[in-house]
Amino acid sequence: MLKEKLLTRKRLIDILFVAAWTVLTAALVLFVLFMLGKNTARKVDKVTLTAALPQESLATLSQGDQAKLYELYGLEESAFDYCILYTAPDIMDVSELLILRGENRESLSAALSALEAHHAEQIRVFEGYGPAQTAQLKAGILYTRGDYLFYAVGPQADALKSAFERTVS
Amino acid sequence: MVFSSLYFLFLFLPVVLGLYYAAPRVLKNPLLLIASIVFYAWGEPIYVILMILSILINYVLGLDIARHEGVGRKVRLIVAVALNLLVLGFFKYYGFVTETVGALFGLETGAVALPLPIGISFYTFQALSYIIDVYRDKVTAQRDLISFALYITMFPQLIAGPIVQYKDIEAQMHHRPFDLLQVTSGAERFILGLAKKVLLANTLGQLATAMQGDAKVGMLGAWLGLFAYTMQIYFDFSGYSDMAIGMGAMFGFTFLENFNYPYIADSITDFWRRWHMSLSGWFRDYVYIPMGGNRVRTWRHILNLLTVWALTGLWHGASWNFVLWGLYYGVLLLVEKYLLKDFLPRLPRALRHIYTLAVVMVSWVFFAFTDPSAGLRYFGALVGVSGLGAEAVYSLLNYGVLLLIGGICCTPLVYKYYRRLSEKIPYISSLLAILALLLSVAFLVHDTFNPFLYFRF
Repeated sequence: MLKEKLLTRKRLIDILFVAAWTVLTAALVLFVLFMLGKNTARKVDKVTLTAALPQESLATLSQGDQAKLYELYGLEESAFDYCILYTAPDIMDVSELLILRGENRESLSAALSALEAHHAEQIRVFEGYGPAQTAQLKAGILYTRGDYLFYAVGPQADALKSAFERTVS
Repeated sequence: MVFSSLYFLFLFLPVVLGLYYAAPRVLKNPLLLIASIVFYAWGEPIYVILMILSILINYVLGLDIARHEGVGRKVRLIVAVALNLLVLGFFKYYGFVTETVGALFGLETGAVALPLPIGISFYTFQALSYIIDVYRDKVTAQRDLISFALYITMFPQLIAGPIVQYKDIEAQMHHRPFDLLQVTSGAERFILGLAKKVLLANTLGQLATAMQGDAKVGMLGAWLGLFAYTMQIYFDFSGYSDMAIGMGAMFGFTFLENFNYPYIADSITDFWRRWHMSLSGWFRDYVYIPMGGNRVRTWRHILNLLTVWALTGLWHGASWNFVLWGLYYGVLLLVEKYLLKDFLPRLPRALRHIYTLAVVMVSWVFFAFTDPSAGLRYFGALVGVSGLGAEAVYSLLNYGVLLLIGGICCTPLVYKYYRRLSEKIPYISSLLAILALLLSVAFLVHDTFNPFLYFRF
């Protein structure tokens, strides 16, 4: 009787353990699926993506090159498939647009960290004397989606983001 | 969050240390766990969920493995190992595999790329070592979820190692006596690591990046850049390890060493006994020896070694250049074992050092360039395809002193004299540490962002 009771108890614990790791594995699979759904992005070439962005927003900015990418963020263009960079010509204007398509995820991850630091530094620089710029910086957009990193600051940031989203979705 | 950031140095670490020392013993582990999760979430909020799920799965499976014998035990081990590898494989290698398959068969795979969860390679390997050791009865399955979660998430070594095996800190999870000497030497070690990263790695990195990014770099510039990169990667990674070990000591943990002056090695075999020891130790214990190690026929040993080194390369990144880098070392180790076994020890010591350093430096070209065409171009520059590039003399003059200091700091000389001086003059080590801290902070205030190179693994 006692032996039977013990066996039943052991079986119950066995079932609980299997149920626990099965539920956790299912949660893991759901998380992965969620991340996939959230992060997928179509591969679009540089010319198509640039053309899809609102040209009136870009017209107010100056196009940046490899040297500017390194100067601003310490990033090497060769680590990415391509880079679309626009900055404001006036030093008191904090508008920026950067879209990187990452050659690999490590580069993208490093770029995201570099952009976070750059963004924090910009806020620190303008916080004391540029309330308008600080507000724009605080409303800045920085995120990764699939192979892309998107960073935009300025009054046109939302429009640029919408165009980017439409193009890569 | 990066160790070498002002937020970490002047806000996060002091607050956590203060709370930790003030907390009663029973609250120390929960506090450290919360701090570790906040630390991770700072840069990767969404991936905290992944890490927590990984912790829970490994915790439950660890206990379940310990409850079973025979086939049931083995099945649970296989489930645990497969789950860990699938998660790592998916987040780290999915894009790489689909791209490779697409390239091989000319298919449009519509590769989906996810940002790599920071530290996933490190914490997955820690979880695997725990699971396998529970299966082998080398450690007892941890019943306390907080202690287990702390083992996986401990922020000093969560992001870039060293890979701590559970058996090495099992006892420390519950019993860590407060030792003021350990705390102060931990702080000194942390500052030493910070100085290596900020003063040496970041500064040398500027030269390395300039040369690697210059498509027209000449032979002189290419070698100069490679020499700078060789030191940058050492100071960067060993600096991080020093900071991790130092911080561990401040919290009462003793982590095993990860570097032992690798650039003074006199063979590649010796080099790998000194470089990233926690990773080579992991592969030895959990892959190489279970495959039979060297106690098998020659052809099988060759296969074992090449497999382990291809995997070591792949661990560093989902890119063919890392696989090549790993295989390069696999082949070199085989050559040393089977062809140079009698010849190499008879060479003059200086020649053995030069051979090792040259071979290691060349390996960093594979490592540094994920783009094969850029790597080949750099190899070409090293052998003079783009000419001598005498303009690099300017860089040599600018960075010459730093390169010399870096070269000396790669040897045990500095530490030897530092120790000797500390014994003669009391408090000198603390004074030097304060000086190094001030200097590093001064550099950090004006520096651009410089994440640790090993963060991407």
